[in-house]
Amino acid sequence: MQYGCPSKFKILLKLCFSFTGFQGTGKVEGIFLDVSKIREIELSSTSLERMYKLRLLNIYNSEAGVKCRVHHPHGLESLSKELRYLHWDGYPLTSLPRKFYPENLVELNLSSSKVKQLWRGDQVL
Amino acid sequence: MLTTFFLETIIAGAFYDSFSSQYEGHHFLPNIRQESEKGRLSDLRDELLSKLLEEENLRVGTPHIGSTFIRDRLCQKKVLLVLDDVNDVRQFQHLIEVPLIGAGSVVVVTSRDKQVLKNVADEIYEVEELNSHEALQLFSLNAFKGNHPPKAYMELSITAINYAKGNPLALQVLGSYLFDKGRHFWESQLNEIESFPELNIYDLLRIGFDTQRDNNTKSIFLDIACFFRGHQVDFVKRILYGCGFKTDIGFRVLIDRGLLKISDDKVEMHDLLQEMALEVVRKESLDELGRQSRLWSPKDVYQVLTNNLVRFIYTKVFLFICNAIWMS
Repeated sequence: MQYGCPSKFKILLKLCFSFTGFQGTGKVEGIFLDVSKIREIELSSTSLERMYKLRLLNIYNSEAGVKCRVHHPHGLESLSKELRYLHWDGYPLTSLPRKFYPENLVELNLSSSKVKQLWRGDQVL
Repeated sequence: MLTTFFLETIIAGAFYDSFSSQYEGHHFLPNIRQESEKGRLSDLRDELLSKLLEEENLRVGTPHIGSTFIRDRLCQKKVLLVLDDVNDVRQFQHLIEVPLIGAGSVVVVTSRDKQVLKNVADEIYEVEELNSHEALQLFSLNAFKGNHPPKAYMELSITAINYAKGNPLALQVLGSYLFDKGRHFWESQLNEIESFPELNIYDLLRIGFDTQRDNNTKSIFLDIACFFRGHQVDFVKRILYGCGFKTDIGFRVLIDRGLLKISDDKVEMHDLLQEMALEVVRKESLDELGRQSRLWSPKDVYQVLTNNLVRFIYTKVFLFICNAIWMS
């Protein structure tokens, strides 16, 4: 019984992880999305925030004439610390996430975005 | 008209180089499928017209060439045109209106899809695989940097080219992989290939990739295959260097192994190698997209970026149930 508890706990924990995909998007290192191929997308509140290994994020529009909408109704709280390349055509929010770590960034391109202020408060560059 | 499976671009290029001087206007448009995916067909057509009419920065802007001035001038020209890697008849129709070009003009189209060629071509030429003599020569060029294998390696070389089944890309990749390696290494690698249950071209191409010991080179290769094909080499190197990869050595190894090439300052790789790389990434997770390291298809990205909320709720519910069981 003494040894039973930890293993039971481990099994439960493992089940949690595998069933819910809790670690799920934590593996994603790069996303390239051509929004002209989907026209409209509503991002879930946690999708990008939980990708803590994300290095490359490119959301672009390959067809200039096609209107595409990326909605972000829940706002964006944070982006990965690992982010090196951020390209987002028509970034939908007025500022970058509160938790944003530009020190590793190699390239930032937010053309036709709605950004008014890069970030609130001070940011170490 | 030309069609091949592997050598099409090289042969069309050689044809173009030999005969272009006999035409009043000529142009070679490479990688049309890829450019079309990037939505650049109209730019390509403008580039084509500028070249044929020898006028800089010609802009048509409309789906059809409306200007009678342009039409009249095109009609009088005998041109040679190469459209490389067309995979949809509409690409062909968008780029050139055949009745518009002058008498005696030739349009060479290369495609992997015979149906496309049947729709646009008067004549179809199918390129054959390399025969065993040519295969041995190509293999030796990569494996020994000479036209023939040394005697001691003759038998092993023949085994290797039998695996490649006359496929030039496989011959190149396999040859560069075995270059400068000892006999023992050759034997063990060829034995390993033999042990594959169903040897196909992907397995063969993976040889050069799987045995890269360092993750550095592997990651660079996968990033390029998934995201950066056709981008400027300086840009790609800058981003990947920023990611902490040793780009100088990584690029050199990949180029030496025939897995990557730089043409026109752009990073390029063979379609089959890209497909092999995408397959490697897809296999990282068979059941769940979020476990894949790289996402490129709009459908997959859409799914991952939109359904996490649902999963989050599931997680909460599941944890709650677990907790309840645990407490009981």
